[in-house]
Amino acid sequence: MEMAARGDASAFSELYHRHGHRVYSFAYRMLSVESVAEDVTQEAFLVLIEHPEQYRSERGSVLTFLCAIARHHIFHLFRRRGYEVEMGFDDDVNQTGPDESEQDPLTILLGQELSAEVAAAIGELSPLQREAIVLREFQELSYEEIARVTCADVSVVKVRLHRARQSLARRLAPYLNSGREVRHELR
Amino acid sequence: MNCDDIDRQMEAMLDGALDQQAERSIKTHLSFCPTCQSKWEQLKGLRSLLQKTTTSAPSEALESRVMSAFHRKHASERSVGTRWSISSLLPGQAKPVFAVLLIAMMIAALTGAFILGRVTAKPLVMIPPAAPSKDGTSPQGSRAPVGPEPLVGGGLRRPITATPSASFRRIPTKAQRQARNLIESFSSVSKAGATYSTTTALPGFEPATGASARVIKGDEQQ
Repeated sequence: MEMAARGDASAFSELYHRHGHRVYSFAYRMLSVESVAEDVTQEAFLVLIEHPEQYRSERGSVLTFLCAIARHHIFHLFRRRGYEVEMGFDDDVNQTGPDESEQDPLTILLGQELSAEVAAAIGELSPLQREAIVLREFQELSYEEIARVTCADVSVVKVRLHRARQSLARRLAPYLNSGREVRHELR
Repeated sequence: MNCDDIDRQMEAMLDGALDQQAERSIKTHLSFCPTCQSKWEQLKGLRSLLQKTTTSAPSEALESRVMSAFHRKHASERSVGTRWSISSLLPGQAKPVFAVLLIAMMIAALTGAFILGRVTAKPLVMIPPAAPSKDGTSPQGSRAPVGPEPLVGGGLRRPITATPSASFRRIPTKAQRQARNLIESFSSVSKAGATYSTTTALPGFEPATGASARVIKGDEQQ
């Protein structure tokens, strides 16, 4: 980070490759629109470029810093667009499943359907629950890191996670129970 | 530990936020409680389901835009040179305070210099150019100073003298030094006995309308 702040292009490129996809993934799972998620990701890295002095290593990792900036832009978009962004998936399914190269078409189709259902279920959560579950399950941040990104207490983060998991479990119950059944049928 | 306690801590165990002793206690409970065991399996199943979904990587255009912004930022810094300022040495909170103090100090310094110049300045005396003597020798004549001229509407206008030697030596103010420097610069290029007029207005001094002064070289002084 220090080398990137001093103008080392290779160091900054390394920083981008390490964190760019994760920041984009966070933004996309929150907003569900590719182009907007890229804009948010770009804004986060622009802050790192223009104001590297704002990052303090004692406050957290570079990823938490970038996610915090991305979150700021995401919630700004939410407020501008009336609390919720329309769930507009791109035509080419961005939600991919596991490696599809060696699977039969039915499995691929089921995987895509599952991904779409999971994305829809996450989209139905409130923004605060959604960001908690995305940062925990997909970005694998700790409770303390999530608290830093969301400017909330750890206890509040735990409550949001708990409620988000309950909602998702109810919404995705058929897939939780039928997962084993599908595998048996494909054999 | 009862089932409610286990239920509250199960997610923390899933997220790796429990210490080893607490984890062992929970696992012991799970081994003989089918209800809690079912909840635990559901939690793990949900995680497995969520992690089956991934997002595609961002476009290469995004990386290009980000790297371009990086190169632009540091290219501009290199062209200007090492860019630093006093403000870069200050913490963020002190910058606006420092800026206000700096402006206030500058205003105070300028105001003080202006007031000091007006208060301590002694009136300079205008020496009218003397007519040359008939035999061509250095003009003699009265160097009686002309006093301050009354202005229309009241007040006095301070006359200006072009004699750099005596009075300038006595008066050390900044305005006087400026006048001396100005006149000396003129005297270096003008001939002895030549007249000139100046419209330069030094702070606290206003030349009388149509005023003129004669440059007096050192050897002409009486």
